[in-house]
This record gives sequence, C-alpha cells and structure tokens, in this order.
Amino acid sequence: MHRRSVLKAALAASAFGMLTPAMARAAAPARVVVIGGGYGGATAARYLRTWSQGAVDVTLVEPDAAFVSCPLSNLVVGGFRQLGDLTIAYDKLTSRHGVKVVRDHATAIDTSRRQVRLAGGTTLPYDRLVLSPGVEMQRSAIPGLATPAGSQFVHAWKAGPETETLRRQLAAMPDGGTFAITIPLAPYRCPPGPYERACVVADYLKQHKPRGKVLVLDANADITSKGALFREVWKTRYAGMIEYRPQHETVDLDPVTRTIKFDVQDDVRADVINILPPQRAGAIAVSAGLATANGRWCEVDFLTMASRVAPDIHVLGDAIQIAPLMPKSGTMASQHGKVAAAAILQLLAGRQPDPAPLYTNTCYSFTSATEAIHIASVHRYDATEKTMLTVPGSGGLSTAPSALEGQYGVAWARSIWGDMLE
Amino acid sequence: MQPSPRYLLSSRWMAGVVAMALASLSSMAWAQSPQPASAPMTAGPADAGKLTIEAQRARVEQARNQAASCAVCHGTDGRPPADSPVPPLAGRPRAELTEIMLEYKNGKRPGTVMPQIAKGYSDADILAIAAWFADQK
Repeated sequence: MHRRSVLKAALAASAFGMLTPAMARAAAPARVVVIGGGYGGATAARYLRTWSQGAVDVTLVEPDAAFVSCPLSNLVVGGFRQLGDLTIAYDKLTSRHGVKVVRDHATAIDTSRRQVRLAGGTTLPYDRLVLSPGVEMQRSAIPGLATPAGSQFVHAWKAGPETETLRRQLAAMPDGGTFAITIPLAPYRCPPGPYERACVVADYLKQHKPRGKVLVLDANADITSKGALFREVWKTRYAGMIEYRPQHETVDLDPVTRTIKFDVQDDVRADVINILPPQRAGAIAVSAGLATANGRWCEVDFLTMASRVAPDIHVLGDAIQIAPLMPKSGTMASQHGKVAAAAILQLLAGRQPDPAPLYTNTCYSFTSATEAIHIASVHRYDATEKTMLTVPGSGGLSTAPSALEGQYGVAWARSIWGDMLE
Repeated sequence: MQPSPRYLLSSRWMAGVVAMALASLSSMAWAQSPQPASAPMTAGPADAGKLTIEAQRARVEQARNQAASCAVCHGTDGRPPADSPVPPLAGRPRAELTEIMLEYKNGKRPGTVMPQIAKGYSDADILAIAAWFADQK
C-alpha cells in the first residue's frame, strides 16, 4: 500500500474507532489464544474479532463440542427445560467471526515462551493469552466423594451430563423423600444459584411429589444473595417444603448411608444429595501460578483483566479474585471478556486501554418454572482504589417474583448467547 | 480520490473526519450536567479540532465499550433476538434514548431493572451511549 494511503486508512480507522493492529504493526497479524469457551472466553474471542475488523488472529481452545449454559440449567434439573435448549454449537464463531476453534484441553502455559500446550500434543504460540478457565470443583475437600460409592453424587454446577444425572436422581426420588443441597463458603460460582435450585426443585416436587422436602444446608451465616426474596418465596409458595439451615459447612459424606457430615452441626440423611464442593480458579490457572489470592483466585488489573503476575495473560470470569460486590456470574464474565478484548486491541496497537471501564450485572433467578427475580448492579472503575466499585445509589432487586421477569430471564439468556456465539 | 498529503495532515481535515465520525458524540456538548471525574473532557463541534485525534478516538471507543455492556439483554449493538420482550436500541434517535434513560434515572419511568441500572450512569455516559446506539443503523 502507498504510504499516504496507509496513513489515510490508519487515520480513518482511528477516527471510526476501529482498531487495526495489523496496520499498526505492518507485519503478521497479532495472535491471541483464548482458553475456555464459556461466557467470558467466547465473548472475548468474538469481540476481539469484531472490534479488530478481523485483523487479529484468534484461536479458542475448548474441549467441549458445544457451549452449555449454567444459567437456566436449574430448570433442567426441575424438568422444565431440556439440556438441548441450553446448548449452542461453536460453529458460528468460526463461520461468522473467523475464530479458529480448537477442540482440545489446554494443559499448560509456558509464560516465558508464550505458548499454550494442548493435551493433543500441539502448542499454540500467542502474543496475548485470554484465560477463562471457570472454576475447579474441589471434590477432594469432601473425602466421601472420592470413594467408589461417592461417584454417584454430582454437583451439576457445570451444566452438562451432571445436570441430567441430577434430574434423573430427582425424578427417581420417592414421594416423601428429601432432596438436600449443600453450599460451600462464599465465594463460589453463581451466588444465588443454590437457592434458585431449591425453588425449582420444590416447584417440581409440589407438582409431582407433594410430600417431598428440600433441605438447603449452607456453610454461610445467611443466604448469600437475594436473601429476603428467597425467604419470602420459601415462606409463601413453598411453605413447609423448603427448610434452610445456615452455618452448615459440609466436611464429609457417607455415600452408603447417604449421610452428610458437618464441621459442627448434627449429621443429615437425605435421599438425593447434591453437594456443591468448595471451588477455586480452573486448574490451568492454578498450575500456571496465577491464583495469587489464597491459592484460589486470580488477581487482575480491572482496566485490562491482565493477571497481576503475568501481564500478557488476561483472566476472566469466575476464576478471578472479585472486586467488592462483584458476583461470579455469566453476565460479569461476559463484561470481563469485553474489557479484555478492548484492552488487548489497544495494547497491541501501542495505545493506553480505556481508563474507566463501566458495566452492569443483571442476574435473574427462577423462583418457579416461570417466575423470576433479579439483582442488578453497576460497576465503575475507581482510579484511586484501582478496582471496580458499585456506583452509589444504583442497582437493586425485584420487589417480588413475577412471570414478566421470568420472560426477561429467558430473554437475557437468548440475548447473551447470541452476543457471545452468534 | 487521493487527498494530497498536505490536505491529509491539516487539522481542518482531521477535524472534518472527527466531525463525521463523532457527529453524535459532539452532541455531548449539549449535556448540562457536570462530567464525572472519571470521564474524559467532552468537546462540541466548536472545539473538535482542538482535541487530538487520539483523544477523539479514545472517546468514541469508550462509548462503544460502555454500550457493549447493554448487549447482554438488548443484543449485540442493541439488536435483540427476534420476539424478545426487551426493546431494541440500535438506530433509535439519540434524543429518544437519552430521554428514556434520564426518566429511568430520575424515577419518572417505571421498570424492573432499568430504573436501577440507569442510576449508575452519569448524564454524560447516557448521552454518549445513546449517541453510539443511534449510530447503529
């Protein structure tokens, strides 16, 4: 290209806010590898391509054939949706957006050589790495789960085969039986999710096994999200069906007698036991030395989502050490993905990232097959505190469950799935 | 047509490009409210040429980034999936979007999440985001 044409194009691209790192580098396209095709990683991959006008080479490493959403998956446990309703192929990321999707496990990150090693044996070099590894369920924290009989107890906290297993266990439970769900100490993925699951399971029981019970066994001192709303629903809609017990930290399980053991409280026996183990950042983040907060979560610079210890690795979603009042949610992971995509393109072009990220979280929880409640918050970067803070006076909760918010919850899912994968 | 290098590099040409690309953002000068401390200084058509092209570019991009947050419910670029009960934002007049957001923010329009979310955005944020969506035609 003629020099002045290049300059003209660069200026025009600049003025229109389109980033063209390839132009700026006048060399091979920059390579970004994204590990993990969930809400954070898929969003980052798509927006890296969209916002660079296809100038950046993006490879998404994801072992699963298709995306399966955790949000709405409690409705599958309750029998109100099929897993297929929550499953979306990755093919449009490739056909519409030019993301190369590699179906493999990332097993190691060589930070000095800037390479990702895959289980299949290949290595992928990168200029910038996006790591969206989700959470690792620490099943070893509950010794009984590691015994042969323990393998039948699922968390179903990653949507997929376990979601259907838990559905089958619930469907097979006799009327009059007890469904117990145990909750680890916060932070964990999806703070209101366990209480939503209790509601949806109770709605199923109400219709099909009216003498059944739901026991919520929470390691925390109180309900960690939407507490007043859940209490009200449990007291009214599910009176006598859902029992909540705080300060019940699960330490072990006898899989033969189906008995849950706690640090202090008395043992509890149940017919279906759904144990949510303690969680930490996905294994690859931990093994790469990025989980700098208690060895569990990855501390990041919220301007770029770059790891505090590896500035060319951007960590997203549930794996990070959260900012105050920032939930580990799908919406938040998606927002992280966009901040990271914008910042990476700026950094590749030799520019400063947006100095003031501003984004929302909106999270719906179903209180029955059709009704939902929400929590919303607005998070703005605070340059003094160097973190995301909620904007005073903003955000809030539903006043009560409603079918309208149930429709909005489904609409949220369809919209965010389209935004990340279509 | 290839512009001459001299024309290309004149501040007038740059201001022209900026004015075209940022026509909507230049409306931020209409904002009567004070700017938040974290937002960049805004400029109207009168002083568009005084800001560097980099500063103009950064401001457009910030509006784009802020607007991208809305996609989780309103769809990519403000285009929700077919049959969504959530309204589209793409291509709607800037003044209409601004008015609706200010009504939500000031408690004059009922809603579920939007009155709560709108309170987290400064008037300047709202103008910039509304302008960005108005440009998505």
